[in-house]
Amino acid sequence: MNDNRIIVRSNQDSITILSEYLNNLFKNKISEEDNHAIHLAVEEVVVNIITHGYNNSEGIIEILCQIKDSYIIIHICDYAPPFNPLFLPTPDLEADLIDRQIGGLGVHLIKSLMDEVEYKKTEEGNHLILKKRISPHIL
Amino acid sequence: MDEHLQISVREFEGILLVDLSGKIDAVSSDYYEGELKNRIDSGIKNIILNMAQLSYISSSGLRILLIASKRLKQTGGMIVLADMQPGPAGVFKMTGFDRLFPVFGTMDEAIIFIRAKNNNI
Repeated sequence: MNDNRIIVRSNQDSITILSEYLNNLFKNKISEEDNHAIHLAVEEVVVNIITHGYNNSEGIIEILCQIKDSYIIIHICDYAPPFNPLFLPTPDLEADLIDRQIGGLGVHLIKSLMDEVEYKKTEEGNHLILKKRISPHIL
Repeated sequence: MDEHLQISVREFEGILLVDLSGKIDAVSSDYYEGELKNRIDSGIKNIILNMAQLSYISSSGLRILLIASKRLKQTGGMIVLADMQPGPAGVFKMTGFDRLFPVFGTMDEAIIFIRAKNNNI
């Protein structure tokens, strides 16, 4: 697979568009488990960009997928004000039902599902890099 | 990862049985929230979610589950989960949600659990 790029608008439709895009790239080419992890991590990043980055206003999200040395690398760029989601606190995962905070799980999921997550502030916005080591499969 | 969310509900012995199929993401979670909220508003206390056909749940879906469950707890009710697929089961484990909700292998086991809970009140 060569580098593969897609640009979507910052709105809910992008979630569905990106799910189809990732399926076209990866379904039946990597394990079901890895495919599930990538879908989930990308959704969580994009939802954060829509709600926190662009604050539900108009914007653009660019995604570039690469495969290098048995890693899938996904670059996600936006042009929103600088915002590092990796600094968001993880909710207390041990808390019981009454004390459990609502929200904040997305970033925890991204970190748990990926092998590496890196944030870079760019001149124009934000650049998040997700890396997932994939099990040997077809690709 | 390409299935639309489908929800079908029925009542059995006062328990709401909810069959979920497809995926709960940021797009479909409003529909799922509406279905749960309407039933809780109309007085349902105990809900069993049949997850056998649910392939995917993101944090948007977990959030709604948590809100609904907190509401039900105030009335002595609860949400119980049955028959989770590996993907959603992994998400529940990573987020500690597997400790917030009773999880059973089958719907029958979940029904027996709620029956026993109701008989002890």
